Amino acid sequence: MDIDVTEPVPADSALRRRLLGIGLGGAAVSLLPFLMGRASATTTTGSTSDTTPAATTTAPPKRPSTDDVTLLGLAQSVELAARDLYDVALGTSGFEADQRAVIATIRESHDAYAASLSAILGRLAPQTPNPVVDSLSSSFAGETSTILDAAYSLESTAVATHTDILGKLQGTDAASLIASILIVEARHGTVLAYLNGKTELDDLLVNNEADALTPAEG
Amino acid sequence: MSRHDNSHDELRRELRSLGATADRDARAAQRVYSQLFESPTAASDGRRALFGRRDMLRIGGFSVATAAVISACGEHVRGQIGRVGAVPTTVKLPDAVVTNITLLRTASSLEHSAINVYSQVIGNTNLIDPKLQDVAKRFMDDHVGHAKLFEKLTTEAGGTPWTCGNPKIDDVIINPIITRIIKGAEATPTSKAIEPSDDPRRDVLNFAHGLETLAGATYQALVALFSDPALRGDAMSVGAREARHAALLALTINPDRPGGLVNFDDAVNAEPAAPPTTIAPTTTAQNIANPVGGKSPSPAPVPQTEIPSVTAIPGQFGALGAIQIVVGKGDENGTRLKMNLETPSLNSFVYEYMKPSC
Repeated sequence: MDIDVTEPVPADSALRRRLLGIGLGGAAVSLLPFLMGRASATTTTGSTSDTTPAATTTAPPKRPSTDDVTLLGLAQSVELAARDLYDVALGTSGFEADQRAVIATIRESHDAYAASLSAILGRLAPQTPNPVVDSLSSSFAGETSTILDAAYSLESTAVATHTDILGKLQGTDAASLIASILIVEARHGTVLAYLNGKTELDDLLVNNEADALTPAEG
Repeated sequence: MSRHDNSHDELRRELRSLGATADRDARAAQRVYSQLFESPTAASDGRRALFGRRDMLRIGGFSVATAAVISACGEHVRGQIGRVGAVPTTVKLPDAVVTNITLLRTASSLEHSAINVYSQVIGNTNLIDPKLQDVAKRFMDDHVGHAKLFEKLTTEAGGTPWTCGNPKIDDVIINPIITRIIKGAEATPTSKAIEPSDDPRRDVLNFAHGLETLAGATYQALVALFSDPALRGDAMSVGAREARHAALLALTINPDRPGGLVNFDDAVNAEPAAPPTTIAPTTTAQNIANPVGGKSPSPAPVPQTEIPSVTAIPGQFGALGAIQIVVGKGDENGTRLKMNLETPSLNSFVYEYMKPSC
């Protein structure tokens, strides 16, 4: 068979060559990502780089676990108890305007905390106040100073309980919620001490935190 | 004729045929070269057919693809991007992994930053009212205790405790604010020099309030990042203390009642039938339009940026948003230094590879 390259190139032959070229080019381009992954690199690692693979970790769950439900139920019962106790306090008539405004605001906050915990727990939320209500009701119905003292202790108890719960919760959603509640309840104690005329730093900063409530007590 | 003779004949025919083909190829090549290099016209049909512009582009593209393939055949490290040609070598940055140890080191760094601020303030009556010295000392002692707690937890977690301030927060927030309060700002080609603060005590208290609020918010934010629940409880036991510091400072800074005690909107919502009668004002009044009218005996002072008011109980839930701090004397336009304090994040964590420099 003769091979004569000087013969005029037929149109269909040129087209064929172009198509072949396009095909080869496409194949090369499609292979590039694969080749790049295997491509040579002269990167040197610094002395501080960690050459050992990072330890695998398991991310904590976001949603509450079964054990979390019990703990969050306790937290909600404490908030409902606080709301009910502040209702008792607001039923008295001895507060000055500023004191009343603070007590009413704190009462609303505890109601909001109970509602947000209810949203996390859904139908598993206990929706019942902690029995601590029964033991503290009389204090919240007394003199203004007595009420403020009792409220101060109640807030400290709530902070201690939530801190204890935080150390046990697995789900991060509920942990974040409890933390956002706890940090404001801590401020409640300082303001209540101030309203009650306390001037000692140990009182204002609630140096002696109350004991935490436990699910058994709930 | 044997079978062997028959094969020899076939072989000879094949050789003749190949020889003839080679001769024809040689003649054809000669014609091609003649047309290419001896043709009088610059663009003969033959040359165009062989080396057109498209062919040159095609050859160029093929060369690039070939280079990529050749580079792929050399030494390689899986997962790294290949390079074509001579490129200087690079040093890989250390791995920045956010672990519990990183978070604990960040926590202790924040405590040390706060300690450094209080240590500059305590004993300086220009910066803090002598009546508040004990409060400042108490706060600093608390921060020392918190730093020790986080350093101990870092060691227990297998890490190296961080005993310096937070480098990023010190550089970007604390040092500029302290400098603006104490020294003001030097003149630049585009602005005049700014004098030291017109009320250093006010600014220091507001700054301390911002730092304490930031510390509380930081521990609140870390709760979602710690993988160990016990560390969350430890962090928030400290966060609660920081929040009480902030509340006490707010009660000191803002004398309005109930504005200094609780968020005014929350108070109104709590008792809509009997809302508080006083509205919490900002602590700095403005006199932009000279509302009294008439001539002023002297040029009206340039209104200064308002200082945000602070509240002991600023909201129902702990907030993680930026805390705005306004300090120092205003510039020629009355604009004071505004700074947003934000909880530490990826650019301000104290990673395990970082070395203290204090």
